[in-house]
Amino acid sequence: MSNGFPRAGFRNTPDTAVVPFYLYAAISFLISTILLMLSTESFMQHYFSPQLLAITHGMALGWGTMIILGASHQLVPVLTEKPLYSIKLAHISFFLAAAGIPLLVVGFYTFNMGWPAKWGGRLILLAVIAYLVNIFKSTKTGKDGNIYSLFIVTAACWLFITAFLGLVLVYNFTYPFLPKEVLTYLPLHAHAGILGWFLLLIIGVGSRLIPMFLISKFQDNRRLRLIYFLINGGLVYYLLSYYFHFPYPVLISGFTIAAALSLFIQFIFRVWQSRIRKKVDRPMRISLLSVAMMLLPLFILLAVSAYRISGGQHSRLVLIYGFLIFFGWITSLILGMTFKTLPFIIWNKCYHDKAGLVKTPDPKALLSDRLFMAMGVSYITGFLVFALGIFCGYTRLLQAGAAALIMAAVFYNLNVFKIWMHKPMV
Amino acid sequence: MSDKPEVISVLRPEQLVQLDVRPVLAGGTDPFQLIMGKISELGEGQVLVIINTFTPAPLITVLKRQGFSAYTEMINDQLVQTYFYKDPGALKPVATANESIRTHWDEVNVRFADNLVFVDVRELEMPEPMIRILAALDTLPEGKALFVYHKKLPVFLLPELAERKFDYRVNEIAPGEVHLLIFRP
Repeated sequence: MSNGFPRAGFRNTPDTAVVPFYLYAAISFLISTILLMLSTESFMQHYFSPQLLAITHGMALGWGTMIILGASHQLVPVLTEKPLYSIKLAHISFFLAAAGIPLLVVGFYTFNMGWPAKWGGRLILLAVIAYLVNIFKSTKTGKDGNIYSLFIVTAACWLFITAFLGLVLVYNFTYPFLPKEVLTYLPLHAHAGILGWFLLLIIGVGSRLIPMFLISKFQDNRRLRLIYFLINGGLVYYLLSYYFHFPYPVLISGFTIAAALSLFIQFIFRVWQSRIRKKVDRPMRISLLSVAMMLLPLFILLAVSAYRISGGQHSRLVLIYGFLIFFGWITSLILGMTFKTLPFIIWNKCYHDKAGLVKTPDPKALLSDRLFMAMGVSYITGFLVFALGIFCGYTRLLQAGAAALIMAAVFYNLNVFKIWMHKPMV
Repeated sequence: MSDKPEVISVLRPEQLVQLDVRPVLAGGTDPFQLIMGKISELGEGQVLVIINTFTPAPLITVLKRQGFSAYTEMINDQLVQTYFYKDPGALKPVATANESIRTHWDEVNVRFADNLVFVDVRELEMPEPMIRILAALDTLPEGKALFVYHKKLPVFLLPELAERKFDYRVNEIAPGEVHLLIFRP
């Protein structure tokens, strides 16, 4: 060991394992908002329609999942203080998912459950396996007992379950082998994804990043463990109730999730109170808005189960529920967090070796504040108008809302590509 | 803190052979044989760095007799680095791409040589390092600079420094070992 340093070297993940995911997500978001504009009619009908399946998967996979995969390649090494297990696996998961997602979305949109949807599903499942192995190996070698790693690995397992169930449902269209109709299993697939994958991951990562960005010392691992068991417990209870016919699956798991969410929101509130940074920047504000938005779908969920019990029609509530989750909660989080992470990743690539030597720009200066403002305003307008449109069943509102959301996606893309194309000034 | 010999401050990472004797001492073994083994393996232009919790005075005496120069750097009351080297002439820096970085670093390092406040955040979990550094900057006396031992270049700190009108220099010793100097321009 001629140059043996006692401490294990910390290395940032190379940007090739992170940035392609961001760019792919940005384009997926834009395409999904365009599909939204083309499918406003579907929002007047039942939620189980080809267009809505296409949009949901464009948003859940192309937008939400892709950016989270990329961001976790960057973040896991920071949390575990060890390099990512394999850059190659990160690249493999990118190419498999990048090829699979459009196939699946086109398969749904044209309702061709033959080779496009099947190959899409298969490739996505393989991408998820590559990601799962990579994350599992990366956290395995890291610090033991890290609650954040536990959240991230468990979330990746739920992503695998979601993708697997999804593929089973696709196969069931051509070879019906499930005992009941598809709509019975759809909530299971959806909630394994929404709660198991998105919620667990976002809480795991957010409970670390939000204190970091607000500069707060507040920590409460006991509360985080409790949240972890509540979410997983609720989800497993819901899943097993399909076979064992437990009483009130939606209500009971709904309450455990509600408990978990309120514990998490309290956690964030404590962080907020003890923060050192009093001036909170715009990307952070929009991310915190997302934390508040977590509660909205929950009310709808409780309303849906109340309707179910009373035997009423709840298709429109399900539409609002899905819209609030994918275009509300997940989108607002990404719109904010992208600009808290990407400028720093690109800055690191351009200036790491020059830092402190010459005058380097402030990482924050890589993004355009004006584009961000324009995005924020059109996003919030589009979100509210479209939600109102679903609620009232009024096509003009849906179109206006979708147009504003397309604008938001365009501003988002311009800003992301501006940051990406940044050339070192010194 | 005594002045750092120039040969030490311009060393390149590949010239350093580090030996952390803290775990050996903690295990109840005398690291003397281990150190002597390492020192006999030193190549041309290489420096042995002993990482310890105290100044190894007897070792310095023994090695001085064998013709080694020593320089001890107190990083904090729990961390002491001692450099052993034989021929200062062989240590002369070779021109590298990093040289200008070092010059910039040294310039500031020399300017604040007797006016440094040290903070070691390497063992801390996020977001502790940032909190510690900002707290240290809040109480940093006029005319002094903050010397930070870090694991990586803390990119999220940089906007905070800009906002507080601090300037900084970075010295990347190796992956996982970054020194920062933060000062008022």
